[in-house]
Amino acid sequence: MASVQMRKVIKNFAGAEVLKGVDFDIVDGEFLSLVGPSGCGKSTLLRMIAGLEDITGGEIHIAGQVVNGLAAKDRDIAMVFQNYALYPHMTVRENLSFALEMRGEFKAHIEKQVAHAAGILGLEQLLDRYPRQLSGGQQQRVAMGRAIVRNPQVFLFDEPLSNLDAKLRVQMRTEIKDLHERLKTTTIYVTHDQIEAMTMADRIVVMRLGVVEQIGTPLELYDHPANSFVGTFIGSPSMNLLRGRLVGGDKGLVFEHGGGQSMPLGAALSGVVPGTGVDLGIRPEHLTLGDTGFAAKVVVVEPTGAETQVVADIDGQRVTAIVKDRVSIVRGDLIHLAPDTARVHCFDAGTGHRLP
Amino acid sequence: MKFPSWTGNPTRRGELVIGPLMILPAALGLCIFQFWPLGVAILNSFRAFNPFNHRPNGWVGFGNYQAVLADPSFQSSFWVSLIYMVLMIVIIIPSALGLAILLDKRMPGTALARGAILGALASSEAVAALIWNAIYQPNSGLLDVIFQTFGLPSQPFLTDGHLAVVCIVIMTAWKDIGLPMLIFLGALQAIPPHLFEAASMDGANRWNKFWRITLPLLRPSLVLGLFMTTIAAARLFTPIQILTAGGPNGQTSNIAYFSYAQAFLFNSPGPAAASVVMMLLMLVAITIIQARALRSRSGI
Amino acid sequence: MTKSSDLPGLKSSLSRRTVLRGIAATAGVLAMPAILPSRAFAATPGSNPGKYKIDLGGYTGPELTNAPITLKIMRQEFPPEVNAVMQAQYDAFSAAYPNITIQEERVPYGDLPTKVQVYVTSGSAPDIMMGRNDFASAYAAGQLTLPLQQFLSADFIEDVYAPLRESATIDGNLVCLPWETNPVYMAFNRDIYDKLKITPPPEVGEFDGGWTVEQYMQNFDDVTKALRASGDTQTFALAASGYGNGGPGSNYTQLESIWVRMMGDPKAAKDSSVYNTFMGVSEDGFTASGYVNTPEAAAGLANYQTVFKSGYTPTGVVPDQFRGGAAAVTFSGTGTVKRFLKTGQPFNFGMSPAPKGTIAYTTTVADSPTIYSGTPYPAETAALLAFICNDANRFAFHDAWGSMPVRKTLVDALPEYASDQRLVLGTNVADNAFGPPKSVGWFDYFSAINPAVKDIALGTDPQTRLNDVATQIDGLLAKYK
Repeated sequence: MASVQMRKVIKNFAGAEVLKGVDFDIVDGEFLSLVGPSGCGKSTLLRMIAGLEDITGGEIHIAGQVVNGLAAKDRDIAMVFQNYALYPHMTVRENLSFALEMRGEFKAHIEKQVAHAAGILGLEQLLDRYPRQLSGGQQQRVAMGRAIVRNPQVFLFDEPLSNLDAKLRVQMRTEIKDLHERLKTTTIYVTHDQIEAMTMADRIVVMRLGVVEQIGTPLELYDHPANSFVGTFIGSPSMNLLRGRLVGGDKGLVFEHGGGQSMPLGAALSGVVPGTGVDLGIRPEHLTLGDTGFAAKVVVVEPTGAETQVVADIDGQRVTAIVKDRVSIVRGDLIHLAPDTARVHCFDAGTGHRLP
Repeated sequence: MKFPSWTGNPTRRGELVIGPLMILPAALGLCIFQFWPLGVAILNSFRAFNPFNHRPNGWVGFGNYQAVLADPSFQSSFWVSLIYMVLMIVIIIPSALGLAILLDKRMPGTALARGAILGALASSEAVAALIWNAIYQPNSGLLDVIFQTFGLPSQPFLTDGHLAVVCIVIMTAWKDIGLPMLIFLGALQAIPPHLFEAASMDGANRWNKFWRITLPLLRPSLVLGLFMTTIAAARLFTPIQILTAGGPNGQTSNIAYFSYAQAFLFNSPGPAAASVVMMLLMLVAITIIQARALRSRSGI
Repeated sequence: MTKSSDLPGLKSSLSRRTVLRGIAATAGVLAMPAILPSRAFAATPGSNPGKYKIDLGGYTGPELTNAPITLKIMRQEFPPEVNAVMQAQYDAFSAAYPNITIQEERVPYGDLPTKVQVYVTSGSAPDIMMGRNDFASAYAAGQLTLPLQQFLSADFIEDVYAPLRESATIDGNLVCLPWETNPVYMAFNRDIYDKLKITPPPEVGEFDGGWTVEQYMQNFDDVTKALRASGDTQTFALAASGYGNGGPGSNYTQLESIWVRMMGDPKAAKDSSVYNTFMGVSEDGFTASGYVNTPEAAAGLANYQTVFKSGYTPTGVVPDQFRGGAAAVTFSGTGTVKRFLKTGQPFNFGMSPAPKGTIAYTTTVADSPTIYSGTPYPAETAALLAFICNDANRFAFHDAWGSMPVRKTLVDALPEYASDQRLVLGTNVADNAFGPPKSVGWFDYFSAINPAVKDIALGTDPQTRLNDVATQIDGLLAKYK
C-alpha cells in the first residue's frame, strides 16, 4: 500500500497535449476515482501510473519514489482492464498464479495465495475453468483476483464495469467497494460513469480535456461544484442550467431568465455584482411543483415508481424536475416550478466558474 | 448436428435441392482431381505394366511393394524424405515466426521486407530453383563469388550430398517461408495487445511474454504451419529436379523424386504407384503423430 | 537432347532473307511438275517429282486418299525462321492435297521423350512424332512406331549415313527416320592457343587422324597451367558441356559415352572386356553388368574425372562457354561450323577429331521422326514425312537451321562439305561414328547412367559407381525381358 502523487504530469501524443499538467495526491489506502467524459485523459493518466505509457513531463511518485523511469513490471501495481485481459489459454488458477510465477515465488506459496484470493472472490469452484467458460461477472472477478493475489501497492481499475449489464454492474460496484474496505489498498478507479465514482470513491478527480476540473469527496462535488461543468457532470439527472443575468433588487439579487421570467434569490448570493450574466444551476430535486416559480410547459412525464421526473419547457429551455409525489399532469399542462433558492448554484456565464 | 429431413422445417425445404446443387461442383472437382487419381494410384500399385506404352497388363499383388522396399534407392529416399521434413520444419517454422514478429513490429523497411517475402512466395517454384541453381554454381555462382571475395575456398554446394540437401532446403525455405509467415503474422496481430500490457503489469519480461503468452496463443497457427510445412517437405520435388536431379549418389532423392524417376525415367509405373502409396501412408502416419502430440488442452 | 544451342540460327535475329529463301525453295518444288517431263525420273534418292501430285521424295506407297483427313505432327520448337520453313512445307503439301489438313504441336526439345511416352500411354498419339535414333530398340520392341521401309524406296533409306541408318534399324525394320544430325568432334579457339603459344589440336579431315586422349589431357594441362600463370582464372581448357542439361553428366548418349566406349574395341574377341566395353550392353540388350563397368570403362571415366579434378573444365554449368571465348576446346560439331560461317566467327577457330582411346570413337545421334503405329492413315502420314524429307525441303531446312543432313547425296550436293576441312571432317565423322548401345531399355539406361557419370565427375570412385549403376541398370532392364 502506498500513496501516489501527480506532479505537473504532462502527456503529448504526436504533438497534441492530452494531459496539461495534472497535479493531485492520493493518500495511502484511499479509493480515488478519475472521472470525466471520453477524451478527458483519465485513461491515459491511469496507463501512465501503470507504466504502460511514457510520461512526457512532470513526475509520478509512488510510495515516495519517482517512477518515471521504472518499467511497468517493476512498479508493483496491479491493473484491472476494461475487457479483463485474462489469458485465454490459461485456467483461472493459471491466470491467478501468473504474476506470482513471474516473481519467482515458491509453488506452495503461490497455491496459498491463489486459494486466498479465490476465497475472497468466491472463485474456488472456477479455478480449473478457462476464461471462455466463465460469465462476464465471473471473468471480472478473476481479473480482480489476478490483481489482489499479488498484494500490490496500488490497484488500478480501467472502466472495469462497462462491459457488464446494468444489474451486474451495480452488484460488482458493491463488491469492489467491499473489497477495498477489506483490503484497504490504495485504489485508482477510472470511469466515465459519475454514479460509479460517486458511490464508490473516497474522493473524485473530475477531468476535462486534460485538465483537472475539481477534486473532492463525492458530496463536496455534488454540493459545491467548482464550475458548471462539474455541476452538470456530477449528479443524475443532470443539474439544470438556466441562462440569464443577476440584477439587484430590494431584497437582494434577482435572477432574470433570458426568456423574461425572473426569480428573487434572496441573500444567498452575496458578493455577486448585479448585472452579471450567469447560468443558474438547479438540481432537479431542488425544483418543486407548485403555484409559484417559473412558469413552464410540460414536455414529458417519466414516472419511475419512487418518484416522477418531469421534463418541462421554460421559455424555450428544457429543465428536469424530480417530484416525490405522484402527480397527474400530462404533456402540454402549464405548471410552476419553484427552485429551492438556498441550494441553487450560480456560475459565470462566460467562464463557467462558480459565483461568488 | 441434425440433417434436415423431408418432414423437417418446411421453410427450409428449398435448401434440400439448392444445397447439394451448390456443393456439386466442388464435390465433383474433389472426386475427379483427388479421389479418382488416388484410387488409380492404389490400383496401379498392384499392377504390372508394359514398359513401352505404360499400359497395365496384369496384377502382381504386392510385387511392386516388395520390389520398391527391396530397392536400396527407395530406402535411401525414405530417410532423405524424413530429413527434408525435419530440416524444413526446423528451418522454416522458427524463421517464419521470427520474420512475422519482426514484421509485426512495424519498423522502417517492413513494408519492403513483406513485399520481398511475398514476392518470393508468388514466384514460380521452377524459376526460383533456376535462380538458386545459378547462385549455387561453383566458381561462377553468387555464393562462391562472395566466398572468393573473402578468400574462402569454393564450396561444393550442390555436389556434396549433405550440403546439397541443406541447399535445397534453404532454397525452398526462401521460396516458401511467406505462407507460414503470413499465417503467423495474422495470428500475432490477432492477439489483443492488452494481454501483453496485463503481462507487463504481472511482472513479465519480454522473454516471459513471448514464451508464456505469444507462443501458446500462436499454437493453432503453429500447428497449421507445421502441417503445411510437413506436407510441403514431403512433396518437395521441383528444387530437387532442377538443383540436383536427386544426386549426388541419390543423396538428395526423396520418395517424391523416386516416384517420378520410376514413372518417367525408368518406365516403371507400378513401382512408381507403390512408392506414392507408401509416401501417402508415411504422411498420414506423421500427421497423426503430430496431431496427437500437439493436441491442445485448452482448445485454443 | 542434342546440342541444339550450338546450331546456327538460335541467336541470329530472324532473317527475312532466310525465310524468303525457304519459301522460294518450296515454291520451286511446287512448280517442278509443270516444268519437268510428266513421267518423272528419280533424279536422286530423295527427289521423285511427277510421280505424285507433289514431290514426295522417297515415298513409294499408294496414291493418297481423297477423303478429308487431318494429320498431326509433334516436334520440337525451333526459332521462328525455322518454324516458318516448316510451315511453308505443310502449306505446300496441303496445297497439293487440299483434303489433308496438317496440325502441328511444338514442345520444348527436352520434353519430347516424355511427351511421346504420355501420348503413347493415352492410346491416341500424333501421327508423326519426333523421336531419336537411340530409342529405336524401344520403338521396335514396344511396337510404338510403324516400320518405314514399306513406304520408302530402298535407295532413299540407303542414302542415310550408315551409323545412323543402322541405329534406326531393328531386325530389318526402319523404326524411325533420321533427318538431321550433329556428329560430335572438337572445336578449338585458335586465338587462345596463339596467345599461349601452345600447339592446337591437328586440323585433319580424317575422323581418326586426331590426338589420343593422353595427348588431349597433356594439352589441357598445358593450357590450364599457362592460363592460370597468366592470371586468367575464368578461361578453361575444355568448355563445360552444352549438351542435354549441361555440365558434368549432361548427356551420355552424345557426349560422355565417348570417354568410355573409346576404351573398347568392336573388333576384339567377343566376350573380351575390351569388346564388352565398346558394346556397353549385352547382345540381347538386357544386361549392363560386365559391360558398363569393365576396368576399361572405369579407366575411361577416370580420364573424364581428371578433367574436372584437375580444373581443365568447370564443375558446373556454364552456358555458351566456348562461343563466349572462355574455353580453348569444346566438344561440338558441324552445327558450330555452320553457325560461325553464317553469323561471323567471334574468334579464329578450327576443328579436330575427338580424343582417341583404343579406337577412334565418337557418337552420332539424330533427331528421327517416327510414325505412330496407331495412326489411321499410315500411307498419308508416310507420304507427308517423305515430303518433309525430300531434297528440296531438306535443303531449305538446312539453310535455315544448319544442322547436318543425314543423307549422303544431300551433303554431297553442298559444296562446303567437300571443300572446308572443318565440315569434311564432319562428314567423315558422320560416316564412322557409332550409335548408342542397342537396348530396348535405352531410356532407362540413359536415365540411370547420366547421374552416375555426374557423380564420378564430381569425385566418386569410377569403378564403385559404375558397379552400382550396372546393377541398377540390370534391374531396370529386367522388366523388358
